[in-house]
Amino acid sequence: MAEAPFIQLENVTKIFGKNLVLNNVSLNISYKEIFGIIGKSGSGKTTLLWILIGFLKPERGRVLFQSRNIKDDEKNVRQQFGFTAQAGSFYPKLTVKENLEYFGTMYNLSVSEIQDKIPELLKLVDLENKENIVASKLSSGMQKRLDIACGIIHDPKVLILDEPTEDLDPVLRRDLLSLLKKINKEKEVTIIITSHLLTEMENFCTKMAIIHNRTILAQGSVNELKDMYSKNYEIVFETESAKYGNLMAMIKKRKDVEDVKTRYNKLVIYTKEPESVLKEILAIKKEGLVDLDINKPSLNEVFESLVTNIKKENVQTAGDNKEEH
Amino acid sequence: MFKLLEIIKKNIRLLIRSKSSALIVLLGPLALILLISMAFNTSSLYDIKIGTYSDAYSTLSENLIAQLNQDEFKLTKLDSLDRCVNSIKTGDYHVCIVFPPDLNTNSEGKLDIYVDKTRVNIVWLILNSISSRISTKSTELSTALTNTLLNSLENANSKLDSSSILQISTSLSDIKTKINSLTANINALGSSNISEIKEEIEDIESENNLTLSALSDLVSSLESSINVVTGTDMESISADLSSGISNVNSVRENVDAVVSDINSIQIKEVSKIVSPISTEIKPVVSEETTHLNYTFPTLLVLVLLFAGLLIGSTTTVEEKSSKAYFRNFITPTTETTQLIGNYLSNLIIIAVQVIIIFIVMISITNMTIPKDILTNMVIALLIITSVFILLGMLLGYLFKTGETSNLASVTVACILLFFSNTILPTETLPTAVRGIVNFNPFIIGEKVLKELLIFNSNLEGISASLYYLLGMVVILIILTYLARQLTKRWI
Repeated sequence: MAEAPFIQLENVTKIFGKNLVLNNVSLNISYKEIFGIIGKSGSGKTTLLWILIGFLKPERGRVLFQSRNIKDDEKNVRQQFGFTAQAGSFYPKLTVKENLEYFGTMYNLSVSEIQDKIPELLKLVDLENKENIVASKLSSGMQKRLDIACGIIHDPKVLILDEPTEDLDPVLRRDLLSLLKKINKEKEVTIIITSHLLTEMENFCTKMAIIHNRTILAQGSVNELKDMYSKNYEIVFETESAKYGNLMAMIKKRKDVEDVKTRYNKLVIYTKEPESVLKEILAIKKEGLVDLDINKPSLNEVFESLVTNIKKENVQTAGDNKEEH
Repeated sequence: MFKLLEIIKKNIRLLIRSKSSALIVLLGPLALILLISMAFNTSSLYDIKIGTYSDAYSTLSENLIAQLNQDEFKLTKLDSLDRCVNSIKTGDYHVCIVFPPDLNTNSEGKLDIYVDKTRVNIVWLILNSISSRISTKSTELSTALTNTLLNSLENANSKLDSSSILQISTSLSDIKTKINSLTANINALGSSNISEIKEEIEDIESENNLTLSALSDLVSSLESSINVVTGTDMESISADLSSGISNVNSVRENVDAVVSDINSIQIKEVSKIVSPISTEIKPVVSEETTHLNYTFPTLLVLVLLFAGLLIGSTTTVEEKSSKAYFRNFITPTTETTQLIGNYLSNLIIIAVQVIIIFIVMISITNMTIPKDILTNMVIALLIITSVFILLGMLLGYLFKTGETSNLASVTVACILLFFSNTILPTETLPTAVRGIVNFNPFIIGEKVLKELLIFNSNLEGISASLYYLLGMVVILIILTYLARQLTKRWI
């Protein structure tokens, strides 16, 4: 019998007034997973997270945590979940230590537990010797780390982060993501993270869901998502002459080649057997080789492809509806 | 409990670290009460400017001006009636007194006093003070006049002696008796002796054959004179004397009646005649009480009103607009605990203010608070403060920004203040409005503190008012909780 997901969303629908914000969203998140929810701004990512932590109640559907509906287990969920908001969620006028003490108390920790935890946490988030600095005086990267520390002071099983890398420079982003990986590994915390920066998420998350237009388009591991879009590899080939007429005709005859086309001065081949195809190409034309690359399609391409397909489907459905009428 | 302490600690740290808020919230009311206590710690009026005008000032007018021109009043003679009246409109003078020309105690002219009734909070105070001074002078004059009158009466009484009149009457009666006796004697003399003389004369004439006609004529003349005296004159004198005696008796009776009337006046003290019904205004509190003592309960509620509303709304908006507000919603700490923590933080801040206010008051005015009302005071202050804090918190939750919530707080405070006894007595309002206004927490709070601080009332005496306030507290707690829930939508 398959193990039940650690966190499960079942057909969750959220409506604000007359606005449908989430439509029939279902997700499965496993224990210790780093689960990314990617989507454009306004796609419903934050609403989805707020429903996950029980801050918002869905109009339809349910959220299960360890197979229990969070509606019936609100106190436990609050104790087991940590959260960091996009803009940070701490008191800028309190010091680092005061913030941790306050939120530790709010998370039902005793004074001694808090005092034991603070040095360990500060070390983890690399804020040692900063405990007496007022939070507003910290750099943006430090503030982000303080926010994470506030979110994990009570040793939650789940840490939810709403676009944590937003507004950070590439170096700080990299540092923050490596910190989250460390927390995931050392503290065995399930991480749920939202972002619209797909390239970063591609290398960071173990599983992902693509949300668009209030609904989940796809979910799975990065490779699963890429496979969903295409099982082909992409061979990009460029020569000095940039004349590929004969080569294209020969390659197209192969059964394992899906498609061949030119992109600027390059020849692009889509195939399930990249090694065999590459051997043939090199045998035919190896002189004047400028560039050669073999790729799986990027997550960006997967996302755009899914969104484009949805748009096409919508247009098709609209057309069908018109015809029916 | 531990969580509540941490919330309170956090809120006070946040307030103190927001310097401008701390300055306004903590020092504002304290500065206010300090200045007020120093300014109003007196029982007098100061610098009341009075303009006077008269076509011709008399001695009495000058005396009245001299009487008024003391201490708090500054009198200036103005050159025209129009200027005098207009000076009130322009605010140069508080009162204009117009004396009739050549005012004296015999003249019928009256003093016209012009006042600006739009200055409702002071006009009656000034009028009362002026009336009291003029009344003093008027009484002084009445006393002098009555004194003269009484002296005259006393003098008349002492000189109106009926015994001397009685003596006159007796003397006249004696005279009358003597005249009657004289008349009888003369009559006796005339009727017998004259006849004998005449017979003797006739005998002599017959004996001596002489004619003594001259003598006979003389006797006849004498007889006729005696007859005239006894017959007409003496009777007339006797009748006049009888009439005189009767008149004298009548005068005596009148004098007796006047004396009796004068003696029947029982009150002969000048002060009692000038003011037969004496009134004495007896305050129910000590005479030494200053304006500040009277107004302290109002001032205290005023501070609680503004401080409670502003602190309540400011801290709530600060909390609401804080980055950490969202995290508070997702911790296992209940919203009720958060709400109670925020309320207690505000309560502590205001408690500190109230303690400082009392220290200032006690040190400046020597005010004492009896130990037996101390507990009642604490209970009353706690309930009154809670109403205003919760009202402030409610506004803080209902309005999105600090500016709008502060504006709402000041507006609500002003409404509560306008519809209280502080600016206009509520008795001036229509009955229907007064019915609503009587539920104004400012009015109820002021009443409770007045009864406690000025009349040293016990808890039973203010229990009805406290129940009203407690009812408001319960309603406000529910509304504040609901408003906090509402703010979730705005995150």
